[in-house]
Amino acid sequence: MTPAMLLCRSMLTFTRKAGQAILIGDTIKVSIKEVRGRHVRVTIEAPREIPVYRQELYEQIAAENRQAARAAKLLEDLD
Amino acid sequence: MRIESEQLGPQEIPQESVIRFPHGIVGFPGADRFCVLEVKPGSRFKLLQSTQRPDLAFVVTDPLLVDASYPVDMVHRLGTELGLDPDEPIAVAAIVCIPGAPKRPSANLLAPVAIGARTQIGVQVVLHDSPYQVRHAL
Repeated sequence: MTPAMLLCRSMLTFTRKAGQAILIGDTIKVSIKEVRGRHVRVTIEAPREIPVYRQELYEQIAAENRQAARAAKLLEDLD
Repeated sequence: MRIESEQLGPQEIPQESVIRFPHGIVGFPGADRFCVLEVKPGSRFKLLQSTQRPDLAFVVTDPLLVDASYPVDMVHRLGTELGLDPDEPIAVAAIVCIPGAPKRPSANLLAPVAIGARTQIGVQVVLHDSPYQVRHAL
């Protein structure tokens, strides 16, 4: 579960067309660029203090970081 | 200042060597203060040690030792979007995972850590749409 999900207080579901956008607060814009079959191209504009990730990559990197942190105890195995 | 490292024991480090991670490390959102500790002289590995939690540390290495054509410039550009200064020199570190024998250690080249030499800000960036993965054999 991502921190965003833990902090989630509300959820909205929209229908949007290509070329339309969603604004989140004053600083985040999610634009639908293209819809082709099962793929949607999305552009996110957000302030630099808000990192943007693909969910599956975020989860993969978080899992790898957690394993790396546990495994750091094996430091003496390295030369 | 004095910090504790579970791996290396008590350490005395200069205050200005503390690196601030405004976004934390992915999966560790609360851990935002680290320093880089030498493991042993001449080693290609260093320890990215939390200055807040003695039990939290990452073994890191220079990604250029894993892949001589690693796109350091792209890491710098992505890091700039997250708070690094475009004009400052940066250090890039790949987090190493040591699964224990018989598995070989690997380096995460998909999500390297960039550290600004002047701002002392660290960010873990993601090389979206690159051929890099979380595990490259060392």
